[in-house]
Amino acid sequence: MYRASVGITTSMELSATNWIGRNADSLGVEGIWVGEDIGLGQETSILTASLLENTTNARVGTGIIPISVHNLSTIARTALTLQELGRGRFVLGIGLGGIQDLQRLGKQVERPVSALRDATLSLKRLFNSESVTVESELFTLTDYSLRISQSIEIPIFFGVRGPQMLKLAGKIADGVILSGPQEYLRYAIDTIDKVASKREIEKVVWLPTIPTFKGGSEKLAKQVVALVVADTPEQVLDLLDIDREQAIKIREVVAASGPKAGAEFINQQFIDTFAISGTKEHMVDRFEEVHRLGATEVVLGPPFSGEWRQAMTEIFEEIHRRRDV
Amino acid sequence: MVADKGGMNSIWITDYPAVRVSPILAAVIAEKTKFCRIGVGLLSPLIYTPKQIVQYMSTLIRHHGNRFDLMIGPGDKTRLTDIGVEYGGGSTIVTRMAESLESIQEGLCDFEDCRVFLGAQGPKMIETSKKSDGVLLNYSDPEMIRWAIETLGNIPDSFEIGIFPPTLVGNSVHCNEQLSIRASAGVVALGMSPSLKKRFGLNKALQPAASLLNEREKIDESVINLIDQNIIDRFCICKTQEEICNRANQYGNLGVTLIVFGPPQGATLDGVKQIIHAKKACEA
Repeated sequence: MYRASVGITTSMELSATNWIGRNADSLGVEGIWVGEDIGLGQETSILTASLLENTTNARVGTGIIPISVHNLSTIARTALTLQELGRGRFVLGIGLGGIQDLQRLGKQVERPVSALRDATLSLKRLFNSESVTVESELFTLTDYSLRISQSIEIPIFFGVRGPQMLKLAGKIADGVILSGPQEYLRYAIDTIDKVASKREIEKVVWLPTIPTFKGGSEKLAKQVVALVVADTPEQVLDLLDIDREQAIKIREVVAASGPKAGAEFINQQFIDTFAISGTKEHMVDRFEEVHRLGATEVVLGPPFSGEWRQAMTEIFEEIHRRRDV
Repeated sequence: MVADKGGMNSIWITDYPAVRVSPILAAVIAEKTKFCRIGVGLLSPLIYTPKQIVQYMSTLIRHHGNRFDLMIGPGDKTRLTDIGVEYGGGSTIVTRMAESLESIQEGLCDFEDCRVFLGAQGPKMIETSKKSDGVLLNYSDPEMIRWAIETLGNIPDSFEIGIFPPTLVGNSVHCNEQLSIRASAGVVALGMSPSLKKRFGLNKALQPAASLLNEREKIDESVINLIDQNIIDRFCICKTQEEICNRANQYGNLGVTLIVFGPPQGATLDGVKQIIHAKKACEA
């Protein structure tokens, strides 16, 4: 059985995120992931706090907080505060940030794998009530501690894509948030498991989900898929049976003019490859396929459009109905 | 909840070097209170970009209504160095704070009820604070406060003059025995600019502690123990229930419009009850 979760992003409307927070437990949502659209919409930690306060069962995680735009001490302090608030239901998802976001901000990370490794090991030591002195590409800490007398359990998940990052996740992360086509997911899960050996690592698969049975907007779906294609590294594109020239074109257009412009170049093949769409039965079938690949958790959405509340309700009913059979 | 029901006008939540993140705690407090305003800060624009600070405040307001105020300021130089944050020189820091203040005010222009305060100490920062909705001073000495108010000069009626010193008010208060308040006050004293130390005759008296701080690169108990209690007393409020009313009146007569009783007062339930009791007694 997989954990069935919902994904939201900080640029979503407050009314939408509030609805999810208020209804998550009754819908049987087992996890909520908050993706940080850097600099846009609601602030990640306050939105996460609100979800923790409004739920009693669901696990709530950041998916992800980019270590490239926050001081590491702030990430550690945020995690501690949210962990206390959620009484063990908080998961810290970290990563470098999306390629497009980092380009827009003019951020360059010379050694991304080392940066994420250093950050993770430092966070683990801080959560283990240690004092940390470390100098890394993205941060410096000198004799810094969280001043806690006992260790705290905060699972650290990675939102990563490339092979070196996946191997790093296999070595040191508690879980990984994956996104991409089926061929890629198979490769990613295999790569992580080989490195992890006997260590249990959770694999969260978060794909754009586009329910077509409740009037979802195809235009919005295409924008989201355009952004995902643009953010997909070359090595991942190599694994796929897609029109490579078209993919490169999408990337260039998104980089130059944003996902709205990129949406024009998204066809059905790209939607089927990079997203889960269709009827609720078909979508839950796809979730189960993803689970059979090795995913321990599947995340629904965004984009949310049309009568998405009803669509979400029915999809979760379908998931739980199948479990009861 | 106790402070809210007890009639406190506002609850301020300090950020770094405190361990918990102030805006998250502000959200939790907003969930559990009805009447009080909630102050966030000091948030340092050296740790968070102005855009991040705006995002914190706008998200709080959208979630919980127009109940929030903000204080920004650079924060303590030594503690910022611990987390790899460059403080910069004395003159550049004022310019950076002025620029940050402007960006934040611009970002929060849709939220008129959210007042933005500047945490200040020296003359340039106090002057810069006039562009904000109010100043919060981190010392408690009436002589120093009088000087700060004189430095402000003409200010609009709505401008708040606040103080936010470490505080201990209770039935029996012995600040010289409390390391936490001595340390908080000591950090402020040692962080003062050389010109301000000179102005208030603190240079020589603080020299031994300052030398040890330079040597150790951190403020620990040994450093604090080298600071005379008379100096500590200028940077904190340590009063009994009876004494605090007189002191509050003295501040009011100077022109102070807002007193924030800083940590460790609010860190315990008993401390909160004591300050509520004191406020009620003073107002009676």
